[in-house]
Amino acid sequence: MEQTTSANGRNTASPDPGYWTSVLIVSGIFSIAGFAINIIFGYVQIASEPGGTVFSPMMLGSVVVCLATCLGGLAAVWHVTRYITPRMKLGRGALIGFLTGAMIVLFSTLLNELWVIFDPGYTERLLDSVVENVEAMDLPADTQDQMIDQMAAGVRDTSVFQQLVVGIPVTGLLNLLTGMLGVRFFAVKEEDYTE
Amino acid sequence: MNSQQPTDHTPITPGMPPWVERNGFSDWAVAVLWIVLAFVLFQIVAGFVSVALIMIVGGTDPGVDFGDRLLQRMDLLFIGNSAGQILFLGFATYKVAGLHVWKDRVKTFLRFRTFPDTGRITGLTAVLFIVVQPVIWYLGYLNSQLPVPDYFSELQQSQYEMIESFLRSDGALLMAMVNIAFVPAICEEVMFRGYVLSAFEKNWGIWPAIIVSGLMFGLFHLQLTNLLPLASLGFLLALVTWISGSLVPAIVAHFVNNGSAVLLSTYFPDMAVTELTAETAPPVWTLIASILLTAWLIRQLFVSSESESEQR
Repeated sequence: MEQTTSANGRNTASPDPGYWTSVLIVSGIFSIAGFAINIIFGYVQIASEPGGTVFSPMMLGSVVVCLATCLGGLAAVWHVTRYITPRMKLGRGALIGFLTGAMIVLFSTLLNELWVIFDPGYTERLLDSVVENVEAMDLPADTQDQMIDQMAAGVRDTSVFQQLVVGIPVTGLLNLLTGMLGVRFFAVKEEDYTE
Repeated sequence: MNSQQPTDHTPITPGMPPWVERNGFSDWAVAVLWIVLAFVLFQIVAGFVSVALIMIVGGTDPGVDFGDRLLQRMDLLFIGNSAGQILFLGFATYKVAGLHVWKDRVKTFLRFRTFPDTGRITGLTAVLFIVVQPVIWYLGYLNSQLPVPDYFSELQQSQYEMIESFLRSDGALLMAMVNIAFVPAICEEVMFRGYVLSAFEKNWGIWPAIIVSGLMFGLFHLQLTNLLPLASLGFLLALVTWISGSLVPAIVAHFVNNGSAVLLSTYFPDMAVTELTAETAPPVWTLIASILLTAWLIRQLFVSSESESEQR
């Protein structure tokens, strides 16, 4: 049992939230969906002719996944309030959001690493395709070279550790915010709650 | 310790608990979030103010790249930086502290107060921050032996070069003293030794709060090649703040530390730019003397504070 103090100062006991189930379910769904979208758009990118457009299929996929990933905290809070307890404080929502974001990064990184085992040439083919697309852009040669170098370094030199060190705080914080929004949208206020 | 007396956060005024408690947050988690948010907002405002000032004041060659124009007017970059610090590390942090405690407790929470022994402790702390410099140098050398991504080394090197070239320009000393020594001494102390230390202390007790707030101070500067010395300075400043129960000694010590670096870079630029190598290291006896004197001064600070507490 978790002891809480309500806004009017009374001590109330709320059931153990058990939010980890929601965190794992939501982060699992979001990471699998995000991974699938990225892979699909990645193969579309590999198969497409270099059009020289700034908004390539891979970039489109990344933007969609990035935006969708931010909603993980919101979804996890919704799941907790729907299936575990309707009452939740802002701080608990923030924690659930952060943990959901962190788990999404962890699962996604794991899935990406597993995919490289399944299709070892995927990353190189994708990079080649993106480089061809940049070369087809109407940009000065120096700018093109700079973009290509940055992309190649980003893909080849980023270790799993770096992905996690950067990804967990950034995605965690974004989901922390949506987790707090989730409390505002879905949780029942203490004074409105009746057993 | 002075800090053991009035850092009691229990309410005098009955009524609603502070926002952090009411909403089920941990004090430390809100403090960490605020460090991240304040850093981002500070950078945005600093950049925005600098660019706006350059566009308004001008004084640069319009034919050159805007990035180079920014570097031509380092004084305006410093003003933008100070504006960001004052706004977010100073004023906004004061408001955020109000989320953790009752409104009539904010100043106590941030240790905005003095005691009869604050002047004496401030003097000892100022001496301590001069005496500790050889230890800091060796920590910097030790840090330089650790592997760090090239990006961070290059970033730090370019920062140093920018500051050094600025300090060589006419009339730069006053501007540098204000923007590198005075403003950070107040704003960073309000943020780290005032707010972060107290927020961590509420959840973890004083020693973890001192260590982690020191580490956070080091990380906040985004200088991985300088993390050990910065974190150690942060640790010392937090220790002094706890011993004295006041923010004043840390502000003065921070000013002494940064101000002496500015003076050294201005009047002895060759010494300041010397690379950290075993050959350029100060003699080992200075390190030993520095360690012994630092330990003695810290002990004096403890003794001084304890005797003052007994008298009270």
